[in-house]
Amino acid sequence: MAPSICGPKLMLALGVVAGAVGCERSAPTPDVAVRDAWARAVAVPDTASGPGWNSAVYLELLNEGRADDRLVGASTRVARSTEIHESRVEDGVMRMRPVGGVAVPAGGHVALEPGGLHIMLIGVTRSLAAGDTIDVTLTFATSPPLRIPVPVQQR
Amino acid sequence: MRRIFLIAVALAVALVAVSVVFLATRRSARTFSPETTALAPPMRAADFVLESASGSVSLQDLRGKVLVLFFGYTFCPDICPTTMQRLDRTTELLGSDADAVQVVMITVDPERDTPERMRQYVSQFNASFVGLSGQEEAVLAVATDYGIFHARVEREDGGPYTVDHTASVLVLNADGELVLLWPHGMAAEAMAVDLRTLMGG
Amino acid sequence: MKRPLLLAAGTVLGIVIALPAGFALLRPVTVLPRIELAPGYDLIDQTGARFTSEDVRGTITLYSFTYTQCRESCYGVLELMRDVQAALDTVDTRGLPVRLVTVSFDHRRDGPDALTTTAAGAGADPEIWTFVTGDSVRLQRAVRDGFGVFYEPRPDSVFRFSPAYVLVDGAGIKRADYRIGTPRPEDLVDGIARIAREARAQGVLHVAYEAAHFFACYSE
Repeated sequence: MAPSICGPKLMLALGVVAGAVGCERSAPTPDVAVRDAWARAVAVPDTASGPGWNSAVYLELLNEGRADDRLVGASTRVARSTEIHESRVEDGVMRMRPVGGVAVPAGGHVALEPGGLHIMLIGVTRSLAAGDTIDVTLTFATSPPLRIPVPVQQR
Repeated sequence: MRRIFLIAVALAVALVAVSVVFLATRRSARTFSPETTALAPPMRAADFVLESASGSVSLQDLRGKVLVLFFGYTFCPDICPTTMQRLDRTTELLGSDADAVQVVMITVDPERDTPERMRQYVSQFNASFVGLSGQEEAVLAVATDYGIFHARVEREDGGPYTVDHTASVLVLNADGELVLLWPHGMAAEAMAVDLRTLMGG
Repeated sequence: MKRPLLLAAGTVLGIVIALPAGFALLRPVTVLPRIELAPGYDLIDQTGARFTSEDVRGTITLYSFTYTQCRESCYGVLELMRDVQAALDTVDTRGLPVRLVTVSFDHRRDGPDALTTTAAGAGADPEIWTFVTGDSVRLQRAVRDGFGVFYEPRPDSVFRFSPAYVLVDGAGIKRADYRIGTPRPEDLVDGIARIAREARAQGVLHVAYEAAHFFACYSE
């Protein structure tokens, strides 16, 4: 109808196309970093038998990217298996449950710390003494796996 | 007139004395940490017979020291070690007074926690700590008597079970009577202060 | 010169000695005794959900014990509990929640359905009054050993039991145990009110309650 509105419409259309092209070139991705990781010291007796000894890894995850991500698992050679758990003291009762994963929102951070979320090391294969460092590989829903050194601490 | 004045003074002194006497001689909850439940007179506690790595242990055997009783299980890698670390720190803060205190951890998971395993577990935190287990029936009895709810929670995926349980800590005097109830999460400093107060320090 | 000082010291000393004695004799404040810890338990309620001693921590809880098939020698347990429930409206519990728990020791027959039916029949407000049972080992531990309530099944599925009502405070401590004769609902409600008053007492009043415990100034 009125040619005067053609201008803005064209601008808008161009903008959308430009945006779409931009998106295709670099889709927003998560960018996860780890801070303050530590593992709980545990002494595994030589005569150990039965259910094995467990420990926990704590850390803080930061996502400086523009998309959400999710910690979905972890692995380490010093434990038979590894699971993400959450401990809670609720109405005076201590509970611990496995959780499917830990959301790390874009631009956000999440702490795995004592009394809450932690990576449980089930069946630790050797004693972890303060001063040791263990390798832990974190797996995410989107980001590539992250291999990190984790110092062992007694605290 | 003079007489009335004297009586008034005496009454005022009496009022002050009341407060002083009660605050100074009564171990009222006031002198303990605010989250602590203090029991004066001490409350009777049920006897128990459990197993340590070096044989049977009853409440009678443990008398003579202030007992700090904590219920947990060795499979738990997070909260239980945190509590044990805190109790170790508490004994450290007590210095030489710690000799009059015995920390005892009783398992709520007798199936996995043998007496030997309990010994290995508690000695990681402090060589003086005692770890107790026993037959399922004996553990159920002591937990029930000490107001400790515990329930095994199976996992749908067949993974290792966990045990939900009451997280509070109980303190018994040297005569084996209950004197303090601590909720979960007490700081080591607060526990040390409470124990000193209890021991008349 | 020295006489007034001596007199004053004597007065203070006299008061220091006389006051606790006076407190113990005159009993200006009385309390329900702290008897012992209430048992820790893990049972099942009428909805089939887990019901534990931790679910009632922080509340004043009145426990009673019976079974739903009880037809004679039932001691009016449910009627009494219903009366207490009705009377709770009239008592000031200082904002502290009150719970009523009826434990059935007939775990074979008292599943969730039977408990639900009986609860409804007794007019139980599900927010206040819960019916529970559990597996036989845990039930025995909690009821027989923990609450000290005798019960025994007879061959004809009738239970012999001795009725008991136990009041537990928010810290999980037994404060009253009624088992001789049948208590009146007002006695139980009075017990609940006493626990509430003490739990809410602060300052000097709190010290007075602690002193009442110390000097064993127990009500009734």
